[in-house]
Order: sequence, then C-alpha cells, then structure tokens
Amino acid sequence: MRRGLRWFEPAPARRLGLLRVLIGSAAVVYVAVRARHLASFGTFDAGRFDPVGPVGLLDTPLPAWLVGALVLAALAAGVAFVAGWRFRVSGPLFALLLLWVTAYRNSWGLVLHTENLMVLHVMVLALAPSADAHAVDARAGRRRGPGGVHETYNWPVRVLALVAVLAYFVSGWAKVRNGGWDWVTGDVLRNQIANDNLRKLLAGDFYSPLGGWLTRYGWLFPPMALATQVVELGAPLALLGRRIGQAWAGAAWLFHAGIVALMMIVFPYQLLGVAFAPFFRVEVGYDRVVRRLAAWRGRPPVPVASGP
Amino acid sequence: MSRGYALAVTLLFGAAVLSPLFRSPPRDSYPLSNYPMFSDRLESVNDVRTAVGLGPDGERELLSPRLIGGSDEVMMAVQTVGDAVRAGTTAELCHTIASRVARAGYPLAVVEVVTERHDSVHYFRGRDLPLATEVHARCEVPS
Repeated sequence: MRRGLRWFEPAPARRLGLLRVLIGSAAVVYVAVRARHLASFGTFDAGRFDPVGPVGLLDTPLPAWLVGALVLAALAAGVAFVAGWRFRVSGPLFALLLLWVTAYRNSWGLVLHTENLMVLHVMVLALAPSADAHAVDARAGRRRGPGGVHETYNWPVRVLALVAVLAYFVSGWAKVRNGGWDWVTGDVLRNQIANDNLRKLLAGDFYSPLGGWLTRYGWLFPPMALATQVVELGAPLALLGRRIGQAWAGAAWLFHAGIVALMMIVFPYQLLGVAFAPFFRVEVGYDRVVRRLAAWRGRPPVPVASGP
Repeated sequence: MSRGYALAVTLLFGAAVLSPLFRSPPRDSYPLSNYPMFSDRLESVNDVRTAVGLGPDGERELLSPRLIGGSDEVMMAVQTVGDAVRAGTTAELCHTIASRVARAGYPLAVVEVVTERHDSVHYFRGRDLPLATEVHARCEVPS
C-alpha cells in the first residue's frame, strides 16, 4: 500500500490541519446558512417522517425545540472543530451532530445527495490527529501525533481522497446498473436533463434554459454521458498518483460545473473545490497566499516548514 | 497513531461507502447512498405532479415550491404532491396550498392539484401544452 497508494508516506501535520480548517469551515458555513431550514423540520407533519441513516433509531420525530437545539449545538461544536479546540471531544462531537442534523433533514421522504461527501469527510477528520497544526490544541501542546512531518498525517488525507473517489464510483455504477449501457449510448441523459428542468419549471423553481435548449440536439448527449461515466467509474484511478488525482479532481469539478449549467443543481461542497482539496498540497497554496499578503502589506514573509 | 488504526479506519470508510452497492433491493440512505439520482432509464414522456393557480380570469400561474411544499426545495414540493396523490389526500393538500396563497396575498382565485403528462424534449422545442392533464383536486383561494 505504501508504494502504490502512498498511505504511509510522510506528510506535514499542517496539510491535515489546513484540511480540517477548510472542510470544517465549509461544514460550519453550511450549517449556519441553512440553520433556519434545518430547524424548520421540527415543525413538519409527523406523518411524513421517514427516517434515514442514524435517525432510523427514532420511531417518531423529535420535538421542535430539540431539533433547533441540535442545530445550534452542531454550530457551536463546528466552531470548536475548525479552531482545533479540545479536538478529542469537539471533533467526534461535531461529526456526530453534523451527521444527525443533515440526516434529520433527509428524513422526510426525500433524500438529497449534496452533503454526503462533506459529512463523511468531517467524520474522517474527527478520527484523525487533525488538530496537530493550525489549531488551538497544537499551540497548547495537546497533540495526538508527533507533529512536524510524519506518516501519521498522510493516511487521513488518503482516506479523504478514498471516500471521495468511491462515492463517485458508486454513483457511476448505479447508472450502469439502473440504466444499463444505454445510459451512455442512448437518450437517457437527454431525457433526464429535459425531465429535471421541466419538473423545476412546472414547480415554479429556477431551471436551466441552456439545458432545456440543448435537449434539441440529441447528438450532444452520448459524449456527455461517456464523459460522466469516465469521471465516475474512473474515479478510483485518482488514487494512483498525485498528478492523476489532481487531473481527476479538475475533471470532477468540471462535471459539477456542467451539472449547474445544464440542470441548475448546485453541489456547493464540490463547486467550491473543498471536496477535492485532499488531492492537493494545500499547505503550499496556503503559504503562497500568506507570502503574497505579506508582500502586499510590505512585511517580510514568515518562514514556514513544508513537507513533501 | 498506529498503522493498524490507520488501516482499520481506511477499511471502515472504504467498506461503508461501497456498502450501498450490495443492498438488495437497491435502497437509498444517508450518508451512505447508492446515488440513484439520474440513473433510471427514463423516457421523454413523463407525468409531472404539481399544483397550479388560476387567476380570476382563468389564466394559469405556476406556484413556487414554498407555496406547494412549505419549503424552498423543489424536490420537496414534487414529493409533497406525489405523496398526496398516492395517499388520496389531494383535497387536503389543495386547501393547504390555497391557504398559503391567500396568506402570501397572491391574486389567485383557484388552486388545482394536477398530474400533467408532458414530452419534456418536445416541451423545450416550444410544444409546451401538456399531452394530458388530470385534475386531482380543485379548491378556491380563501378571501
């Protein structure tokens, strides 16, 4: 595993710490922006309650005050997660609360798929020494690993990448299983795009005029479907090397940009690039930004240690 | 942290994310999904369940997801109408939507809960009249 998939190569604690800040911030902003929406499920008709995931432990919906309180608790734990404060507790606590509030939101007869990867990423970070750099714990000497550059900071990053590529693979496999290879060669994608846009239009929501217009040109869709399947079924190849991983991340981002353009479906975690950050040496980008900011302010850059 | 722990976490998450592939029958869940969206073999002719408003002169107005389903999510609105049709509760849903329309102050006279059959590809070529319409419930907007 060491040579092929680079699980136990040394990596800087800073990379994992910055990924905690980046992914945790995306999750906290999501909960903050959607707080009212997430809390509104406390007042939904109990007859529509159809629990999924961990919410399956419940037979009946929670009282409205508790739904709201859990959203607030998730927000507070999320701030501690991003800050890296008491991470042994705040890490798993935020992961569980984020899982709960998003699962509760999906427990009303409609399961959406825009937050799955973000939640899984937060869960991976919670089980790793993610607050050994860029964290309050690191400054207070409460590290879980050796600090500096070590293999213990690489495998969590690889698990983040693994989770991402497997999720895309499962999505691609579902298309082959349900739609057959017609999904690639036939009109399935065109019909999906036309139907999705029409359903939104008739329900008074935003739709993609571009996607609707392009459905006139049937020949466009088999190549698009093939590209989709290359990105999804080919995703596991992204684990084989840094460059191929980065190339796949770029292709996957374009895939999501295409989904916005043709179907007006926004996957914020992917479109902001956060989902694909584990394929990059984020500490290098961070240092570059810090140096430019220092130069812009007329101050000398702060020297920082960087890993491989 | 030991390599054993690292491998255990790796296997745990890898197996968990792949586990929906082995659910029989295939079933969606959260956060471990089989990502069924857009995977079905759809034809271009499909039924769309929604609710529409009619103005005082009978002109047809589309209603927002919030008016139909009580939230801003279009899929929730579609699901709400679909559930009501299946459960035979479209009359109750119609009155709920009509009350929301009245509270919002829209100048509509009537709400209809409908299933419209469309050829979605032809729709975007300008042939936007439904192939068929079934009105499940019709109710007046309270003044």
